Amino acid sequence: MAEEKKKLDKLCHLIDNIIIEHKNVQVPNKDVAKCPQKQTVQKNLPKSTPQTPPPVNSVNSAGKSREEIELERKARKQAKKVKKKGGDGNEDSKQQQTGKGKTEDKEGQEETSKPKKTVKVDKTEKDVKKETNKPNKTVKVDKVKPAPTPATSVPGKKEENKKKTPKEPAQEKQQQTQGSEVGGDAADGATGGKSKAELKRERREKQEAQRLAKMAAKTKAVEEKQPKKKVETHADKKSSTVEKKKKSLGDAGKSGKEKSGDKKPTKRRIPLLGHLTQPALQAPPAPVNSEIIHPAVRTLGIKMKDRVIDGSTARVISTLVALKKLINDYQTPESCDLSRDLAEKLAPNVEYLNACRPQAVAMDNAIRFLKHKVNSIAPNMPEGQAKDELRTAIEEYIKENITLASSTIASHAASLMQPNDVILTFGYSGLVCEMVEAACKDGNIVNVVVADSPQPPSGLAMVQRLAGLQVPTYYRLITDITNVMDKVTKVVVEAEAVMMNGAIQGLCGTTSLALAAATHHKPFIVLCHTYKFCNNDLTDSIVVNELGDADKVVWGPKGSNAGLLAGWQETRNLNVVSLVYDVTPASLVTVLVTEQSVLPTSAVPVIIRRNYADVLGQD
Amino acid sequence: MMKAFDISTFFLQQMMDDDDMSPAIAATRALMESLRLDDSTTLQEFIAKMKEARETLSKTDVSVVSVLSGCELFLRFITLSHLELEQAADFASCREILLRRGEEYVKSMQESRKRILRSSTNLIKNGMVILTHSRSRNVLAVMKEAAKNGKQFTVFVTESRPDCSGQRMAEDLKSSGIPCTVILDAAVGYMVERVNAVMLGAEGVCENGGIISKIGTCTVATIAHMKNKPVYILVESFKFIRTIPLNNSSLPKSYLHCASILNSEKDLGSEHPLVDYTPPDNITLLYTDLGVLPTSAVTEHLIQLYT
Repeated sequence: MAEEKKKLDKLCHLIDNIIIEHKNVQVPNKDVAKCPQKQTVQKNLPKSTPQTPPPVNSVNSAGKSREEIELERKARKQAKKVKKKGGDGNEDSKQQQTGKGKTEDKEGQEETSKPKKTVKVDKTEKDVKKETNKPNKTVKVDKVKPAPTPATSVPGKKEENKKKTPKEPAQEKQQQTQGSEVGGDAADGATGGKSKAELKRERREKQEAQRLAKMAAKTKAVEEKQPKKKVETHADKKSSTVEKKKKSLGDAGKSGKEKSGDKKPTKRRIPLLGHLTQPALQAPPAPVNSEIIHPAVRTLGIKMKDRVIDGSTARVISTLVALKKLINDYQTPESCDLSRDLAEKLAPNVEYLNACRPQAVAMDNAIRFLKHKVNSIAPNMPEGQAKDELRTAIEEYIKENITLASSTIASHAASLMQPNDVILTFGYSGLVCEMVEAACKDGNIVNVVVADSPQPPSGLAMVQRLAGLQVPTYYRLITDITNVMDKVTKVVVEAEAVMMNGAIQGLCGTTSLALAAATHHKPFIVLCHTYKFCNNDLTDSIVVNELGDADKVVWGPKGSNAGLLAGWQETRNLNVVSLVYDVTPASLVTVLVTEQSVLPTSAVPVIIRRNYADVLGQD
Repeated sequence: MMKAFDISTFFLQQMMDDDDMSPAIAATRALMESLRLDDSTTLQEFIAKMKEARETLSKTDVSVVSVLSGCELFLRFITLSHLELEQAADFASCREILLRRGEEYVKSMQESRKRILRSSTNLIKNGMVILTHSRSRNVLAVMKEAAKNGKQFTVFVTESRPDCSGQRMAEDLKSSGIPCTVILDAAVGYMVERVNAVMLGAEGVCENGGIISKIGTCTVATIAHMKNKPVYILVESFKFIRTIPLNNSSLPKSYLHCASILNSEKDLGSEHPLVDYTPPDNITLLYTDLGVLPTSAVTEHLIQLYT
């Protein structure tokens, strides 16, 4: 058991490393880049302050107090989070006030409680200073005790947030186009029977309020960056001048981008893709001291947001490991069932992860499995036993569905290979690597052509891993594949998810390979774990997808043209889109290699029905 | 085997005695016979012997695909009753159970052709022109049945080299009073626009619904598909096999060449293959003893059988 655990940890670590190695994580840069904005937005500040109620002021004052402890980095970070939250609450309250008077009392409570909390946190941070997270946490919890509202109010607020999001785009659209009354009307219609003029006025007020609130939130966000910049510039001074120059150059470019990005980052809804959530620029706010979001989950969320952990398998493993930590630390309150309470506790954590980055299908399946396990725990089972059971269930899930399954898939796929095959693959795929490894072991020397997308260039990691295997490898961009197709004998890719109708959801670019394979009559082999099977039907890549960071596309290649489109968001008719997934229809897939066997795509519904009916049919 | 029982001679004898018998049935019968004469004392020993017998059968000079699938399913079926077997007092009673189940299985195999006839009652209509390739017992049976029911139709049969089984098919059809013409294998493209449907047999049905069949089937099915002529496959469900060839070049050598050539160490590159693989895209429907199936339904039946 201990050995397996070690193995698993090693695996997670490995995944992290692989991804970190090959990703230019620009997180610190981002923060720095935002600094130059400070001035422009601060100009707006006076405008917004008189209209926005107390919270903003209080936050500002808290900001001053924060400056005093500027060097205490951790403290600042956490305070930031709280503050951000306060800002959001503020925004919400605005909306609520104009919408319905009912919740005003509650909002008032929140408003008053929030500032209190921020101050307190700062204090505690000062007091406790350089202590580890956990003891810190317990102390903090004690101090915040007088205001129990935040803990209880948070789920409610989340709901508000949820409610808000679908409404917002519609309203914003109206702001832009003025004429159409599509979603906004429907949303407002619920408020009751008022005259059209009244409704219109109300809506305008609401929009105005929202805009102001948003502006205020932004100024805050920018202000927070201010001290950081000072620290970093100090560091820069120390470092070599060349590096400094480089950085400042980068900053100048970035700042322009960020400025334009911040002006209307959420307003830009791409036609046809308006339903997809915009990639999160910042980790969603979470209360510092609450026990609701587990620290492991929060760390994971931030890592996922920054794509430090990428790829569905890595995400599933790390999610399950984080949730296992949550279960480890979980204690059943008295007069409550473990199964019921734990399920409730899991929900906001899962939601948090989802807010950081939209869940992949595989993650969704894994979480469903865990919820199913939690729900099926008998109410009279002692806590220790139940936790043990859940932990072993998670470990077994990872072992059976991922670790063991991977090697089985690799050997199944390797059995399809023939000597001197030329394999075309796309981007980084652990399964394809394992397959090549297994084929080499069988004595089939295969050549691998790695097609890669320019952004993100995950294929580089693939090439590096293959180089370690002594496999003849060719690296080409995906724009180039038609030139190699006649020499390729098989196309092998890994799927992110397999749909009920046999369609394959893969990283964007997979379909291009499938089409090329079909045109040249080459077998298109898809490797996939069965836990990534999904009981939805997908026929196109539009309905279910994820938006990537469009700015990265604009800035991606570092050539002479880099940065020409930096201000694309200000150009009215220009839309830059970066989609994460695409959907390959079942008809283009020759075989699906799963851990069960080599299957046609028509076997997918059978497998789902037989193996996952109990888990997938839950909601 | 004991008592000088040679399974392969028995198998070939069976094939000679009854021309209408599919090789898979003959192989299963041979296995039954060896089971009857078997003197194993444990179940493990017995299963090992059965597997050995299957290997021997696959080395005879017949189409290996259907023999292997028939044997595989037979072993699967008779050993499926594990519960019953575990309750048996000794191996003698175990063998009783196995024999009983084996008999059942052979019986159902023999009835499968009747069921195919039932599922394909209205397949042939008056005035139809049908193209077929090589000699399939199922196609012959369905055509005879249709002629018996008074249907008027004409048939084009390919000569189907190298064994010229098309000639035999034409003789069989003519003796049943069905007008038919033998055409060159190379004339399929020329004839196909005159026909209404293509009816074919198969040696094996792959998991994705594609078929492995006499060489030339792929040509016929592909051309028919291109001209939008329906391609019907008449096949028993015991010919379903659990593999998916990616394309024709990934077919195993044991399927492509008969045992005598494989053993003779000739250069296989210059030998003609005996079978080819027709992908499911070129097939309209499968008429089986389980009913009329689209190609995508094969996998479900196989998964049910093997798990």
